[in-house]
Amino acid sequence: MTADRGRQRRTGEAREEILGRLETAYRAAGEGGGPAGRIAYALEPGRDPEMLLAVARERFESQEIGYHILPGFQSLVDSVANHLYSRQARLVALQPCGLFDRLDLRHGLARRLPDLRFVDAGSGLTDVARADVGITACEAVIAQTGTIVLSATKREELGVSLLGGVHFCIATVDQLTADLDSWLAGRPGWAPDEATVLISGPSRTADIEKTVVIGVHGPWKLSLFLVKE
Amino acid sequence: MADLRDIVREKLADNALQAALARALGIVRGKRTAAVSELASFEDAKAVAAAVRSNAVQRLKDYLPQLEARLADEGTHVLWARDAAEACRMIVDIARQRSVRRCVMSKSMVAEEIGLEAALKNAGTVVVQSDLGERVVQLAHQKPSHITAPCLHLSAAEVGRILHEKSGIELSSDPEKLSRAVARTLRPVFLDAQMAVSGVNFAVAETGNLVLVENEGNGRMGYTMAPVHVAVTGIEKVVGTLADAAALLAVLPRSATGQRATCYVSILPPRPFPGQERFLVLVDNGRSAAFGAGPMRDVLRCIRCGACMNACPVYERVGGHVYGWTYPGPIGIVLAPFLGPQEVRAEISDLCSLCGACTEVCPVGIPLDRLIVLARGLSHSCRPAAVVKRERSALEWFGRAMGGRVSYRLSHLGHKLARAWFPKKLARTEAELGWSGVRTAPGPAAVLFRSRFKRRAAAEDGTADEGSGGEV
Ligand code: SF4
Repeated sequence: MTADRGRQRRTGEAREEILGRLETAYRAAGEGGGPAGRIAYALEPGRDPEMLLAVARERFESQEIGYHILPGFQSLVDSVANHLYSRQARLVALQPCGLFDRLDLRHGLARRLPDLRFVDAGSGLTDVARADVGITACEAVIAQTGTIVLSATKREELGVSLLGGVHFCIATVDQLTADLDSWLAGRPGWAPDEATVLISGPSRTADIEKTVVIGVHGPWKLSLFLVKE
Repeated sequence: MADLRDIVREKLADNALQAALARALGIVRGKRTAAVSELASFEDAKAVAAAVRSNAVQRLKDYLPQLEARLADEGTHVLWARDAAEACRMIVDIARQRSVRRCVMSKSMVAEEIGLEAALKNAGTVVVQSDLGERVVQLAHQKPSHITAPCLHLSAAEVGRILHEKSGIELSSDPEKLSRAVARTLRPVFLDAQMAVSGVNFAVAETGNLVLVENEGNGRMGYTMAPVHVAVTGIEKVVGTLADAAALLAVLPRSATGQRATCYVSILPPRPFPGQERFLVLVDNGRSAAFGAGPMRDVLRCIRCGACMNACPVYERVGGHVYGWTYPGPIGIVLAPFLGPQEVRAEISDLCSLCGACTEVCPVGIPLDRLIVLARGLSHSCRPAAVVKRERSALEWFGRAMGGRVSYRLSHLGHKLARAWFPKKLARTEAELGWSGVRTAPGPAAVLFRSRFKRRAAAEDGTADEGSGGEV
């Protein structure tokens, strides 16, 4: 407690001194700056769903994101099960979410793949880290940068898209949006009180001789199941 | 301390370094060009990003308390540090009070700047760098040579040897094998670390969000797994709104690595995750001095993309270690007078040809070439007074000579006569000024360019037009 109070006093003094210096210099120089505006892209897909999808597909391909466009939720569970099977996945972590509950995804997968095991909801991070595949839903898909927008309130939920070697993400085509700017513009006053992660590909590095290597600390494979329904 | 020129010569003679720099910078420049071409206009994007950053810098005194209030209300501890030593003390205290044995660090330039790794180690905490390039230089007991590519100066074979010797990884020069092997050795470290230290790319004043940008996932691993997360950043990293952060995210990865977006951008909420403590350490360490330094205030706009060093022809030949501190390249030169430790050489401001390539690529419109000239002015106070005096009077004479047609002609004649009558004295003066130390000072041309130009124009036109040549 004494150490905490000492730290608070010191940081309080530092705060006043730093802000004081800024205030003094600010008064000497006065107000500056101006409105910033918006960054425009060479290719602007607008709101046309076909254009959005076309731009997004191009981005996914160049960013090594696997994608599967499915006609409806009927085929989703089959498709996810097939991909789990072909990857020989034995343990899967599912992000807790309303969509998966509505689809009854866990039971649908268990019926199709009887040997498949699931990380129990409420398990700790070390359990999540043992999963071969993590499956999440998402908030939005940004076409311009081929980005999946995820949100999570707990660290264990964040771990689902990070700790397994493979990440499957499920989205609907109507979640496609042109760019980050327009996504934010559609949520005025948004102050995220949960973690939001923008994912634009499987984890990568180019630290050694600028050679791109896919799959470092995060998943080496990212697949998006995009449902048209 | 070795002479800077000797160090430069040594780097120029290092063939392995020259090959590594040429290869890496060639690739990254090409990628940047392609990524930037997806913007409608780089110049317009630059203007937007510059406005975002200069607004933020201008309003620091309002944004910082706003950010602090937002975070503190939600339970994130905000600490302020006047300098590097104070910041390190605070973070060491946090580690001590929580009996942290192992700390995992993701890439943070501010942590590097304040010497946090050494401070924690001295206090008995094991520090493991988790960014691949940072891990390599940590194992090699070297310093990073680039702000976004720490081991850019090493070949794959050298990296393979370091990892083999220091970490027991199978000897290889295959970047893929090596990268995966390092990641495997770090996995248990993440699971076991009691504290994670990360940087912050942008801190959003309005919402209290901390934005972290990365590719490898080590930053995410750190703040996801560890029960204590310490985010350390400079006071200038604040932006007003999430939309401001989004504008910067459109130019940062394109300029840094030539990607349209990095693999991961984390927007952390102001409230720590359940079961986790979070600290934000706001470091001044010379930034408020830069804020009060007139036009040099623009250095605070920097978003640490590294594009200026990638474009710099001097960096391309000498690499990052020559600059002798955390930030190399053009941005390193202009930050050094404010953020640099005492031992940083004033002469690093001479590592510039004033070509302006850095200014052209800077996504937040920092006029780096102009600021480097100002940094040279600041560094003059550290140079021998006699040299500065002589240089200044020589330049004054030069200015007068170039100022008019007659004086220009007379100066040419004077130079010719001086070379003929006092060649040794002239050579000595030039050498003392450092102008002819590494190049031969050219003598005056036998025929003036003006006359040659006129003759050529006359030959081409078949006429001698008196006014066409003009003065040079
Ligand atoms: S000065 Fe500009 S180009 Fe250089 S690192 Fe900073 S933002 Fe990037």
